[in-house]
Amino acid sequence: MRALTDHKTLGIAYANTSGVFMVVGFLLMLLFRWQLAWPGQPIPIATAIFGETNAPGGILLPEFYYQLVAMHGSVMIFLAVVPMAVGALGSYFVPLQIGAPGLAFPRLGAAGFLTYLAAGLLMAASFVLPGGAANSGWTSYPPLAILASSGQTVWLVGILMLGVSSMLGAISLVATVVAYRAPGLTLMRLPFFVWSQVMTALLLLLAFPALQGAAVFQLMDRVAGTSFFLPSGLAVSNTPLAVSGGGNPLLWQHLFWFLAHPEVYVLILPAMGVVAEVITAHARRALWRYGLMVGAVVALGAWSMVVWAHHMLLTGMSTTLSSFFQITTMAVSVPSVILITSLVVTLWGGAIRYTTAMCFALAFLPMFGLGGVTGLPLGLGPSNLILHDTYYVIGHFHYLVAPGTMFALFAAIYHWFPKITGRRLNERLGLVHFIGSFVAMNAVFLPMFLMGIMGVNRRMYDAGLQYQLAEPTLAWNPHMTWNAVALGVFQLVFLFNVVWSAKRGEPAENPWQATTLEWATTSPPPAGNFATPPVVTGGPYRYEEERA
Amino acid sequence: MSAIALSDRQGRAASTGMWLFIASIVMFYGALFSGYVLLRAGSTVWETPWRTGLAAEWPIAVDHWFRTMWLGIAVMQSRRLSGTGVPVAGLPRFSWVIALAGTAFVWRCADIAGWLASRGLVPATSVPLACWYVLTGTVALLVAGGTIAAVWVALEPVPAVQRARRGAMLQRYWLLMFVLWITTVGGLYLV
Ligand code: HEM
Ligand SMILES: [Cu+2]
Repeated sequence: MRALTDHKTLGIAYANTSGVFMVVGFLLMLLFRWQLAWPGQPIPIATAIFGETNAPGGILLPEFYYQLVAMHGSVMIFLAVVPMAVGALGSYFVPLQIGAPGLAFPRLGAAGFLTYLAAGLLMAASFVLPGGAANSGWTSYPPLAILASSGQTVWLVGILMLGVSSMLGAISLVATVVAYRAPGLTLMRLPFFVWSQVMTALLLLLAFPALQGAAVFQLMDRVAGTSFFLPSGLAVSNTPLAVSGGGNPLLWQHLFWFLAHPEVYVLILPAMGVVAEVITAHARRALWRYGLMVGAVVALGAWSMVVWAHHMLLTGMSTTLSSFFQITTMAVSVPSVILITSLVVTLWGGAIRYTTAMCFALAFLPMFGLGGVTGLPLGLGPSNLILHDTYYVIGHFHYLVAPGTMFALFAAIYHWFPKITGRRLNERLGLVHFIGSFVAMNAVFLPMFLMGIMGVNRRMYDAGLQYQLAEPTLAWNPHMTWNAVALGVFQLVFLFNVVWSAKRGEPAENPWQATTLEWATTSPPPAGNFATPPVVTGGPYRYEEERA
Repeated sequence: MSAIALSDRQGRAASTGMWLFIASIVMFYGALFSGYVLLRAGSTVWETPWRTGLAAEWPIAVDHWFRTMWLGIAVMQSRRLSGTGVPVAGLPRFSWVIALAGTAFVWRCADIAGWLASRGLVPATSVPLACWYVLTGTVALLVAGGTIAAVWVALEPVPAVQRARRGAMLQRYWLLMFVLWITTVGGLYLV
């Protein structure tokens, strides 16, 4: 606990924990990908690991399959990617990048981590409950979620705790940036990464409470027998439900997406920030139109709070409301395009070094582009009618978070590993990791767009065996699954690289000659970060000077 | 950073942190309250027991007047806490007054909930009652939190500057409680 009050230890603790959850989320995925590729075929060791109740004869039961899917989404979003992007990178690098000795409220930061850890363990442990873990999707729509087994209650408690955790972390981070910037570090001299982290923290602060409110309602529905989300006259398997009724299931969707749309920007903004840092340092360029980018990231964050109902276009809302959300959704792509354009234009005339970090950052750009572009048809009613709840949606958001945010996270690790350890990751292994991940990732997710356009629904236990329209796509599934396995294998290369390089990597202080403040101290930084407090006299990216 | 500059920064950080915390609570309560508004707007019948049979047995106006007053006292006392001119020795007493008012408030909320429940009016009875329990319960929980914070401030011996700062934080929190409570009362009983 005491050690966690140091922001670097805290960042590492977040990184390790979220890394473990990332592996957990990945393994859950491999299991259900097996089922999608070979529906109903036994997995050799499944019974031994998951027991007769989940996988009799090695065959995954539907009930278990849905636990795997729901927990894959929940683990990846809430326990892996956000804690890695915000908890780990934010806690470690924001104080360094603003020349501060630490976080403003170290004890809050530590408490936030411990709350996250407890929530994660709790949610993961819910697999052993009778009925298993939550199985109503990461979106937990009622009435299904209210009728689900007790794992759902644990999920809700976990979500409440995660809300507290992100609130504590976000308060600590924003207050640090407001109050502890080095002398001379004006707001418009902040590295772009810091801006992205501050906006992310604000989104977490303002949006997560809505989900917490909704979780309180759903918890009441489950444990106190209320009917916040249960309409009157609901019958399950032809038996009327013994509840008072009078509630509204759509209320959950509104509250959930009021968080969860901003949450997707929580996933993407830190990635943008990382890519900005990596591209500037490895292309020896200052950001193109820094001011515009700052404006765009602020606008993106704020605007992301008024688009949520594009997830609900088919719920029968009025045309006025639906038009409103379609328009806001189209408009939200403007700041995204500004950001991505600025990042691309930054490369122009740069002296690009194709390091592994840079490769991941460069790959992020088209991957994010593909994810973003495919969002537009989803945001318009007529095309949403066809694409909603199909694999197209899965393709859309995975392009944003998997080859998108995940690639940015890899870029961050390759870029900042020397800062943390004083040693570089091996570049040759890095290149293998990059190329392998890039190919496998696309091979897994690209077919999903086509599947969705052909009408294959998401969340189908048997990949759509009983639907004729899914017939041509069934043969693709094994390939996708094999590529998912390959993706895992290439991550082993990465893990080996991390472990090996931490001990024997080439020693490095500032191998990229980067000019942002975190590099103005030794690698790894000492306690208190800076031997002499830095004084800032200019912008963060001073690469133009070297070419003059 | 020199000592004065550091204390300056701590003050700024604390103040920023408190505003963010308040914003976050506002969003949390806002979510619950808008849930309430949407449920109520979408219902054809909205039977609130205190509008009918219970009204005679439960002196709602008096009861709420008391609870509002207790919160008012807490707000006023926390205001005194934040003054820099306040002698350090006098501080704990104010905090204890806040703690007392807060406890009375929470006790009253719990008492009424128990009374309703004893008459079979539990959250599961109807959505209006469920809303009553959740909104009242949330305010009561937040007030309980403020009460604990007041005791903590009273007990921890810290330099006068820091204490005044904590007082200022506490005051903002209690003002927020007051606003939330007024909103709850208005939303549940008056509209
Ligand atoms: C250009 C901006 C974007 C637009 C116009 C857009 C649009 C949409 C729409 C309309 C949907 C709902 C599809 C449906 O269920 O029918 C959706 C789903 C989704 N989007 Fe996006 N999106 C954008 C950016 C992002 C970003 C940046 C992320 C994450 C990093 C993201 C993550 C998701 C997720 C996770 C879902 C699926 C949620 C679920 O149902 O499980 N989107 N998007
Ligand atoms: Cu969305």
